Amino acid sequence: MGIGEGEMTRSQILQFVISGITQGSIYAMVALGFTIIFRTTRIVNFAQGDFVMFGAMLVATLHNLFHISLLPSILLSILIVAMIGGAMEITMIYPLKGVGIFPLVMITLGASIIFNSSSLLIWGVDPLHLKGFSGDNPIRFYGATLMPQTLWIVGAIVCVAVALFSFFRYTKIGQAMLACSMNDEAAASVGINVRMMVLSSFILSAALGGLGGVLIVPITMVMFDMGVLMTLKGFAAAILGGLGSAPGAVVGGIVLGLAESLSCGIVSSGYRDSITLFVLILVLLVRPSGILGSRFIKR
Amino acid sequence: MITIRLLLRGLFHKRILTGVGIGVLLVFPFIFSREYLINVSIFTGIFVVLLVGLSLFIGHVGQFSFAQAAFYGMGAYTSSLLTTRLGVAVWLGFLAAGALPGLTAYAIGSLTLRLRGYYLAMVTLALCGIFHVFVTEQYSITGGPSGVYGIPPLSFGKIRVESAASYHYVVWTIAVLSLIFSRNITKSRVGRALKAIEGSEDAATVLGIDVSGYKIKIFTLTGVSAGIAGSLFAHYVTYIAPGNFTLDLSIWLVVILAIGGVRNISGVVMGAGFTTIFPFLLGPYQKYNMLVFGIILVLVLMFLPGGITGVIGRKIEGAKAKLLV
Amino acid sequence: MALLDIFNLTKNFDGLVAVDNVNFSVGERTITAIIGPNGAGKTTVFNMISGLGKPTSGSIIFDGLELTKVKEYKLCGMGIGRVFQIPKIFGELSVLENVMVGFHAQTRSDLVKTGLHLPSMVREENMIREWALKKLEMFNLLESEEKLAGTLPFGNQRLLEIARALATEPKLLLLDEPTAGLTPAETEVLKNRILTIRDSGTTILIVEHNLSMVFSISDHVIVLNYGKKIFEGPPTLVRRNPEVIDAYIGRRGLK
Repeated sequence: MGIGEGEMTRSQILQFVISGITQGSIYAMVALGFTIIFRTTRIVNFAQGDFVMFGAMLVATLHNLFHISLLPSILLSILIVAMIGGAMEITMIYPLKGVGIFPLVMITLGASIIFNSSSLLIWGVDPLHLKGFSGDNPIRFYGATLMPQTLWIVGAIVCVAVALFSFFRYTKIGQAMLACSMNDEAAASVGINVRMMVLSSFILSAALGGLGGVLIVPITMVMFDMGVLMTLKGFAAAILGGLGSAPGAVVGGIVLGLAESLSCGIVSSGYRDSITLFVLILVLLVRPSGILGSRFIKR
Repeated sequence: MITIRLLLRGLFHKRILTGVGIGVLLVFPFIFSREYLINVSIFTGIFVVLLVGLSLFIGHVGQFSFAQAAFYGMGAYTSSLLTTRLGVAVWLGFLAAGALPGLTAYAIGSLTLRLRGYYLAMVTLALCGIFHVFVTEQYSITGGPSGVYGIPPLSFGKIRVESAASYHYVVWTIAVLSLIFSRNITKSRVGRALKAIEGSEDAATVLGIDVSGYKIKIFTLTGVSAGIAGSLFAHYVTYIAPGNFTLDLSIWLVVILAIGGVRNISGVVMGAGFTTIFPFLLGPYQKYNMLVFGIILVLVLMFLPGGITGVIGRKIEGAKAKLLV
Repeated sequence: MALLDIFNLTKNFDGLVAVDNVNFSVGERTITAIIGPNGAGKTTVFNMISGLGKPTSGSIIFDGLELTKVKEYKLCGMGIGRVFQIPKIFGELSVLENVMVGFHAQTRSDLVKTGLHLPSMVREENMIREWALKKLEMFNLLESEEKLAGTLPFGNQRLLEIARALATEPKLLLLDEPTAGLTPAETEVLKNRILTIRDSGTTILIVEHNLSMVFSISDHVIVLNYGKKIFEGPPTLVRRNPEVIDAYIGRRGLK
């Protein structure tokens, strides 16, 4: 019996780990979005979570309501969210060029409020849902269950991480985006079009958010106001990993997801969020620059 | 001609404006005897106290804090619980309501304000979340989601502040005093030091200014003022619940300051008034409230840098300069 | 007697050695110049003396006290003043207020005193306003007293920064390339100012690229290259030292 119980706990832990990694991958996606915009502009974009919300709401609507088949729905949703990101940069960020960080961060909060309230007007308060991309039949996995969607999500974050890493490391435009964050003037003087870099960073990071949203619909109920929580968790993940560090964003996301789901097993679910936030504060106190960050903080 | 000029100059004069404002506050309960209007004035006063520290912190230290709702709630719960559960005298509860969030802010500030950038913003967001979870989950202490009932009215010794009109005077006395306090700070050695810090932390340091010390002090002030506001709120409405102190409120307060203008007192008063009447502003079109609000924020940031009062302030200065020529 | 003694001062940035085991002394009431090519570590040395960045190792003894253990903002009160390479004046304060900030360390009104507008604080305000006006008069900036400092022309911003640093009543004044960006006429005026400041009893440590100015005003010259001290001595010897000529002046030769 003792052995049986042991196995039981082990599979439970495995279950928590699986759901933690799944959730954490989504956080990582949002955190990566934060990172991209932060690295080019030094802005923390408080509308980042709303990109996730739009991705989720759009794909569910396109597929369920307009009966567009899944893949085109997904691509179209991501495209629209990317366009929303671009539009945000053109209408709000660019006109405020050169006024300092405070108004820019505030305007992303304004964008978030507008996105949120438009979403309420468009979709109302009812949650939307979508079937898993490869069905909803759970896979047995060492005594735990694994939803096929989990594989999609984890696969996506791995692909995105690799793609982004190569993008920043090996492509000219990726290098140029990094150069912007180091020094605007210097970047401009070596012929980098800073404007285009900022615009691209918003489009790219919106697309990432959209992707996160698309992926998350099958495993959760999505609603008009999910963006705020996503922003919070993504920001927490980005800070946890070290704001500005792309690998940090991924690690931060996964750690946050794991902390959340494992704390579920330890305390009542009501405390889940506060445990995570506590962990976050503790990490920041011990390692103020986050798990992998170092360059972007001075003590 | 000259008399007209003098008159106009007089109207633009801040002291006269302030005098008129205080006069209106004094006679307000006599002219507007309807409960609803007095409520508007009371809540505006409470929001002034809630915003005053935050405006110093954002406008003069240049950092974001989203902890304001948590400090506000901490103040409200502190004095409510002390007075209802432990039977502590209300004025003592009121003082504790200022002290506890102040100490919390001091502790958090000391640990995180040495860091630059967005870290404090994150920690304050987290604090707000933790506070909300704590008051919702700790049924035995805080009453959980159903909150605390039967909070006694404010009283100082034998004097009980029960009628709305008398509450109006108490709230606004505290509000005006806190505005004066904050204005005095900005117009003095400390205010100059804060502006210096904002200009260049390095230059401020070599001139002997304790940069993180000042940040911590002002952050502590945000905690104290929010706690007092929370206590004023709790003893007026006599019933509080976690829903009064959400992260949404924190975000709202930061945003409303950006709209009103973080750099001056009129921005605080304006933000407080707007916060009170906003829910009723669009009448039957209430569902467009937040959309309109978001658009206002974006437009203000784009076209009125420094906030509404910042721009009006400059216009007045300009007009004054012209009149003086 | 030396006012400032620096022993084995070293600063690492992520493995990069910016200042490498540097020793020197600054005599009281002298003008000491630090020269060297870009990236030689001059500003890093200045930063460590003025508290903006702790040394990795080594010690800085000022007026008989070890500075590396003192909180950075307290150095000002101990008598160290600093002027930056690019003037860091406070653009949103008036010219007068900028100088008044210079008296910060000599005044005491805290948050509560200023918030309550206590008489002691008002007295203090009036006093430092008077003092600040005197400093402005000294630098011929009195007429722009009420202007926002950010609107001053560059040359005057530099003068304002020096006036502000002098308001702290430093025993040691650190000047980081004070003539950078000035016209020859302005440079000449500044040179005389520096001599006046020295004559009034303030010790000066200066980083400067304008060598003719360095040689004409300084009593002692320290040459840094790649973070190391390669020479020190009176200006007349610096010109003749082959290592200095080679490392710093290169083949251009000395005028």
